[in-house]
Amino acid sequence: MNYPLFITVLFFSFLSINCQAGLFRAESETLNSIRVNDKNKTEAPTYEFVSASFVNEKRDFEINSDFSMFADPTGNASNKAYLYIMDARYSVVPDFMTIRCGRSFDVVNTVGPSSVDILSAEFYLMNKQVRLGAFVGIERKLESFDSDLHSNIAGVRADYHSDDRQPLYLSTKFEQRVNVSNNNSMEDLLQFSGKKPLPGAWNPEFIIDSVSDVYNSNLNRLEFGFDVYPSIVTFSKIRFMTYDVLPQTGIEQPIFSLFSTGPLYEGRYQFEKKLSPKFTGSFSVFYDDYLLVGTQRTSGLGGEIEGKFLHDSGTKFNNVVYYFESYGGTAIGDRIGAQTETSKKNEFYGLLDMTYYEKITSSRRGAFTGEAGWTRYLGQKFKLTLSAQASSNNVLKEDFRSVARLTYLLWDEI
Amino acid sequence: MKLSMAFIIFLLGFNLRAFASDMTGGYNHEMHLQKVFKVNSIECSHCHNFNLDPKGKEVKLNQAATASVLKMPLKEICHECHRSEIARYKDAPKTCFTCHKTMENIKRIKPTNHENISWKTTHSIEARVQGESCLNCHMTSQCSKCHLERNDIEMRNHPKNFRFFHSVQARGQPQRCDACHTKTFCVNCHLGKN
Ligand code: HEC
Ligand code: HEC
Ligand code: HEC
Ligand code: HEC
Ligand code: HEC
Ligand code: HEC
Ligand code: HEC
Repeated sequence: MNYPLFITVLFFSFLSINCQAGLFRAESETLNSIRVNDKNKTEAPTYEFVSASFVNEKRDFEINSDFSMFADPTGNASNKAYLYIMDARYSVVPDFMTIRCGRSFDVVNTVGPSSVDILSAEFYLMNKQVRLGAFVGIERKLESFDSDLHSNIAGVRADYHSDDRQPLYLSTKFEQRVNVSNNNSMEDLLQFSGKKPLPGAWNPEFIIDSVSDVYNSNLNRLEFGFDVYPSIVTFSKIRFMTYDVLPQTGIEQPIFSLFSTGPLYEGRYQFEKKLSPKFTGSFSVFYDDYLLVGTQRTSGLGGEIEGKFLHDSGTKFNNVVYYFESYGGTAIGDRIGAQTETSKKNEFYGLLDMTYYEKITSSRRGAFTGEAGWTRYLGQKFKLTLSAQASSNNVLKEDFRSVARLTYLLWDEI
Repeated sequence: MKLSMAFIIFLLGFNLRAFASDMTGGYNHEMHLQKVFKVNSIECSHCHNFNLDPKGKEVKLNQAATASVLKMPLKEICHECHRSEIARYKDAPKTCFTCHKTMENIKRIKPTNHENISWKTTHSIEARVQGESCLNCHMTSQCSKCHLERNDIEMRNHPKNFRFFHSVQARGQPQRCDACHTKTFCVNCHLGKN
């Protein structure tokens, strides 16, 4: 495999370009797997993920990128290339105005996160306690490589945080969408959200988020809940939500509307306790209820129980038992993981995932995957992981694959 | 006679560098003195166990003096301004990786809400409400690993056996797939296209 070498060479030459002093971070990950596909042919896909960011010393300029390539020398899997992120931020007027542009994974401007080609401006007022923003862009779904799914979007937002140690945070956003690949359907989304931690006993933190589509007069989402810390070693989280998106909206018909014809209600609870310095136990449960067809409602329920244990030798163990149930069937399983550092430079790990499921198609089966791997740190910046995976399931009775992953991480002052 | 900082510090006899670790690499005392401490009338004794003699105001920081006792842990000293919402210190860079730079350092400051097993699914509302706060520690290229990349060699988001029971979860929590997937993605695979 001389592919990774090529990439690193590429990086060093990139570094030698002497830009303005600042913080530079680069990560390159090369993955190679040898496996047998559904058609019983051997394929050797190689994926390359490269991300790099730079922030200058004054922190008024920043660029981010994330790129990937998929190739298969045996020709049995497809070759693709994706550009996920290539954006820049610049403070045009320090402490007052910042602009961002390029392809982003945006969690600041849009209502909900999105992959978007964006141009946005942000203004700070009242000692940065108030921020105003506006943007225009094209939202894209990159996972379906061959289809060009997109929506034209534009919007404004405002947020506020108070000036104290338990700040109240409030935010509102408006986004207009023209879903080009969904018959130019329109949406006007309005989001209100807020967060407030309270001091004192239990330290509760309240959070609320709502999105409505004022164009189609529909409440898309309302979610609220709180986190509490009853003692220094316990943590608990409660969430409720209602969700309902219309079938004609979205870049493409939303997956939700393939299953549901009306509002969904969900409750979730989570609890965690550090039982000893070495052992942490936690569990989480959820219950969903939604309109299937006509007046017929259906429900989903499930949960996970986890134990994390740190052995004196430095080995970490964790075990998760999970359960899912819906009219589609039930699935129950167990995931076990162990990880140990034999020296500063070497790590070993093992994973097992065992699932038993029964579906409405009355198939009752098990699926098993096991993986063992070795990670070695090479110098300060490289990490090499070699692993072998074995699985057994109804598609491939026995399947063995090997994976090589080389990570290059640089995080440095330049 | 002007008070000699070097002398005092020598007497204290502690090696400050030992506390300082790599975290203070970017700490510029002179700059903080001029642009921050003076402006906000912060005394040396706020952090050190000494104060400047009123007459000794011009004493320069002695580069050779590397030992002193700080009154509070370094963490509290730096965070007082660099992790607060207090308007007076609005100019202090708040991005955690200004100081927490190495992989190790960043890992050590993982917030408690991350520890729970279900953070993977419950960060949703936190990030929707105040997505900007995540960018204090994260690069968006870390988020894209689950949100945008589709890597079937090493499953980043779903558990390894998920393929075999995704139809059960999709029917129990259909709202949970919209954040990342489109119908085309599901249909392509069901039709055997890849
Ligand atoms: C906000 C806290 C803070 C205040 C206020 C402060 N210092 Fe410091 N000082 C530090 C820290 C932290 C270090 C260690 C820096 C390092 O390791 O590079 C330090 C180190 C020093 C050193 C050791 C020399 C060096 O460069 O490492 C001297 C001398 C010193 N301070 C003098 C002063 C004087 C004089 C004042 C008052 C005018 C003052 N400091 C105010 C936090 C403070
Ligand atoms: C009293 C408040 C205060 C404290 C305490 C403080 N800082 Fe700062 N710091 C500031 C402010 C304000 C700025 C921005 C100064 C400017 O550029 O005008 C700043 C800037 C910085 C910068 C950016 C420097 C640059 O060149 O842009 C770094 C790095 C930094 N501080 C590190 C530290 C470290 C490490 C500590 C703890 C040892 C610390 N600070 C403690 C207020 C503080
Ligand atoms: C101005 C520099 C600076 C900034 C910015 C900064 N920190 Fe720190 N932080 C420190 C220093 C110095 C320490 C003490 C490190 C040590 O003791 O080795 C520390 C320690 C910590 C610790 C304790 C780690 C441990 O192992 O005990 C946490 C948690 C933490 N920081 C969180 C944060 C978070 C979250 C942010 C961003 C919101 C942040 N810090 C921003 C300087 C900074
Ligand atoms: C104080 C720093 C800090 C802040 C703020 C922060 N994170 Fe993290 N986050 C971390 C660290 C450290 C890790 C662990 C990285 C690792 O292990 O490589 C992490 C890991 C994660 C992971 C991966 C979990 C997994 O199981 O793989 C997710 C998802 C995540 N963070 C989301 C968020 C979101 C969303 C926000 C904003 C609401 C956020 N984080 C805010 C420090 C932070
Ligand atoms: C380990 C995989 C993983 C990583 C890494 C990750 N996420 Fe997520 N994220 C998820 C999952 C799974 C959901 C869906 C949760 C749900 O609603 O069930 C989600 C949901 C979200 C949502 C809500 C989406 C919606 O439309 O409701 C936001 C916002 C978000 N993540 C932001 C982030 C940010 C910001 C980061 C990077 C700091 C990040 N995520 C990293 C797995 C991940
Ligand atoms: C946070 C984003 C996110 C959410 C939410 C999400 N997925 Fe995925 N999905 C991914 C990613 C990333 C992959 C690629 C494999 C991986 O990294 O886990 C994937 C792959 C898949 C696969 C292919 C698995 C395989 O073995 O190749 C299926 C099936 C799937 N998702 C179904 C679903 C269903 C059903 C839901 C809703 C219950 C859902 N996903 C929710 C991100 C997401
Ligand atoms: C990696 C390929 C793959 C992807 C991607 C995929 N599926 Fe599937 N899906 C299958 C296979 C194989 C089956 C049949 C086996 C079974 O029932 O689980 C199936 C079955 C189903 C079923 C049961 C069908 C029936 O008629 O009984 C549902 C519901 C389903 N998938 C939903 C989804 C959704 C929603 C997505 C997108 C989020 C998705 N799938 C993505 C492979 C995939």
